[in-house]
Amino acid sequence: MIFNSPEFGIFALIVFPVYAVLRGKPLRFWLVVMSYIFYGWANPWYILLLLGSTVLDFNIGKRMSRTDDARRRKMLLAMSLIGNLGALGIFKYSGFVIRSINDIAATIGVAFPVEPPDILLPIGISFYTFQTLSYTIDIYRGQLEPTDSFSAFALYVAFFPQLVAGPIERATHLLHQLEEKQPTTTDDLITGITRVLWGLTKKIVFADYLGIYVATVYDGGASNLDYLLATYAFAFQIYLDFSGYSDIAIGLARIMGIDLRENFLWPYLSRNISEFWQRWHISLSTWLRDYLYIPLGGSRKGSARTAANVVIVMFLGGLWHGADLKFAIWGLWLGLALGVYHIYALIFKKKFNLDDSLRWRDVIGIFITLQTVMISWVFFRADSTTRAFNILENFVTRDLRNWTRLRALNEEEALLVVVLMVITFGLHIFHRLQQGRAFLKWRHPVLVGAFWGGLILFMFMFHAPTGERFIYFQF
Amino acid sequence: MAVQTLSPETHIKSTQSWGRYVIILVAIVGFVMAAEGLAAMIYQHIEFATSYDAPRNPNFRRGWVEYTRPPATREPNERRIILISNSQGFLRERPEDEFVYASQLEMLLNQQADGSNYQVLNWSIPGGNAPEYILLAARAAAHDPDMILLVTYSQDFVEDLHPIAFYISDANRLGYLSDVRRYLPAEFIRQYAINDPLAWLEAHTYLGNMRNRLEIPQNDSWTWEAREKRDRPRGLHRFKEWIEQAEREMQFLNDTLLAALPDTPIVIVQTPINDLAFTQDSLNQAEQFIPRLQAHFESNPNVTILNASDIIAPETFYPDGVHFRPEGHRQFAEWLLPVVNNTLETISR
Repeated sequence: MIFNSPEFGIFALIVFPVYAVLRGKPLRFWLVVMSYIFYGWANPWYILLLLGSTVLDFNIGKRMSRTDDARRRKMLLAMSLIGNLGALGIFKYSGFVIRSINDIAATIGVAFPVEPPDILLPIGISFYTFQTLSYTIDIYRGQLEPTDSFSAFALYVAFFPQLVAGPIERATHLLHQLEEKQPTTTDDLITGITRVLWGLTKKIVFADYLGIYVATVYDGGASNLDYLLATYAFAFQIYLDFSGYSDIAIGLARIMGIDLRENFLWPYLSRNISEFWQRWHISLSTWLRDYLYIPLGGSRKGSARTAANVVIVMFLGGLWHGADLKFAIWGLWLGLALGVYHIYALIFKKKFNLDDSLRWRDVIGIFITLQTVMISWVFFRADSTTRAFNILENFVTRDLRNWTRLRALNEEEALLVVVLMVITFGLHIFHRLQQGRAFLKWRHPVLVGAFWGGLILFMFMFHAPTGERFIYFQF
Repeated sequence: MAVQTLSPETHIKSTQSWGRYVIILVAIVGFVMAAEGLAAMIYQHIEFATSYDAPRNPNFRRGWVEYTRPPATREPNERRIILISNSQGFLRERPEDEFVYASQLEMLLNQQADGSNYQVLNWSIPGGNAPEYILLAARAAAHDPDMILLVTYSQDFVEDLHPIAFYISDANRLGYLSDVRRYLPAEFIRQYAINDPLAWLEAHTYLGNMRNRLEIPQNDSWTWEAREKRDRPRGLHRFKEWIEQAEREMQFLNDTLLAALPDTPIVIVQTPINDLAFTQDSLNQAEQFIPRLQAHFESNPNVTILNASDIIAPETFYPDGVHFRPEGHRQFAEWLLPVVNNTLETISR
């Protein structure tokens, strides 16, 4: 089920009133059942996988807490890793691996008789696998006590607002909130609903409109100017799409008094690539940092090793997105950029604070970061690695006329794309100038009602004619 | 504007005031109603051309609800012919309305000076396809036409109304009008998903109508230059798929015509085709078209099926190979004249 569908509207109208009257175990049971319905809406068989992962990690967590034997704890952790990553590997990567072996075998003239399996990727498997893995790893590290409540754990794994596309939560932050019903204040409700409406606006107006033009260019023949515009447009589309989803998830949870972690902090105003990763898909980047980068040695083993660790982590982060070479290259490129930045920061002793206010001299850093990220988006959006390289190659080799005329888009469409991007970038600047202060402080019911009514009307009047699925659903 | 800052007390988890939420709800409803009222005021002051006063839809692929509005009255001597067709009936390549074959046919009919006032309503949708024709056929009932002229060819029975592309016509809005919907087969409504609550709301509110007006047209939707010749002949969807889809759509069309226009003569004409612009597959399809139509409409005594596929010479087509030049429109109008006369004469008798 997707948030921007009529079915979800009906779903929400059933979930929340019942939620309001229930307490304790029945409440958790209700939310688990509804989360499973939400998840299994398109394909009920997916639920089995979710349930399997839940049962496995709940039991491993309990068993791990009952023993001090380091070897046994390690073995239990290995079971969790094998179980979860094994399922992820089979469902997400087996086809890719077999196809790659086939390709290599064909290149060297050897017949490889294995056909790639025809498996449908379960939605959100990458997200909940990481979420449930963090539970067992945290218990293994002694950072978390396992829960005794199976329903609370099942809800932690399947909590519908963030099940399909994050934010990837940690048990240390979310689990205890799910064990007991959280009181909801007026502020929670107003903020939550506003966040949901804002997230929907980002998705169905801004992201989906940009998506139409991006598809027009990337799915057809286009000039360099088209591709340049479409690549920028895609950068904003994916930001609006994914952060819109996160806004809706955070807002829905907030309506239930539950706090989810922020996933985006206006990333396109980052002064360097390191800052970008502290502002973009934060729940994934921190997961990779805590469970991959630090265990690899982090920055404790010299600058060369640090840079190498960054590249490895980003490469794997790229593969987390999809079983395709283009995602690996996407991660590798950003990893290299991060590695280079780390070395630069070490040599020139550059330090920055995420909360520092912007200065004019930061413009250069923001520009370079933006262009670095833009190149990566070509790989992310293009149909294949070859096509991505073709587009990038054309950027540097094709004649100038290709830079001065539009082919796939007309002037009006190009103007609309630019306007949508300027608005989004303007919101970045506005928010940074606000320096974290809450923008919407109105609590007068008439003003709140008018604001919500305005957002609903805005969506109704200007939603894109083609409703698209959230981009990150494919991961 | 007064801005209330968040007081520390509001952070305290407390029982909510239901009165506050009622006010919020009332404010939302009030805001939306006010906007709807404003949209109504604006919308009612917009003058929309209808097919009675414009020889083709001036909004190109949009505004089909407004363009096909039935008139309030009907003159006693009026003979009303509704033409439903595709881009060939639209002649997008030329700005002048008089070249369109619908206009030329109307002129030829009125030149007969037989005391009748002929109206040829041109409901040609550029890129139109069978589902849109079905919706237009259902819409035609409200106009009480003397005759329906459906000029079409095999390729119109291929494309889906769904998924609705950005540039597709808004004819699907017709499906939400009660005087159209009642004639549509239930299976057609289901297959083309003409049951979207949001689309229903868009079709029945002034805000929705205003949104439709605001929709930005797709690129090259309204240019006047003949397009360049295609790099390769027009390929078509796989033959088997075409047959399955075409059979379904022909059945929907017949069911709709029987329900909406049980006593109106309907002439289905296979459109002029330029053989040179088509692949062999496409030509095979075109050859199958009339026999399949005949098989489907056998049960409908009002339907006559004619073939005009070879009445226009290849050089009379534009370089795109699909649309014919003004002289082709004239030839086609002259070809249609006796067809229309004979049909109308049959009714008079």
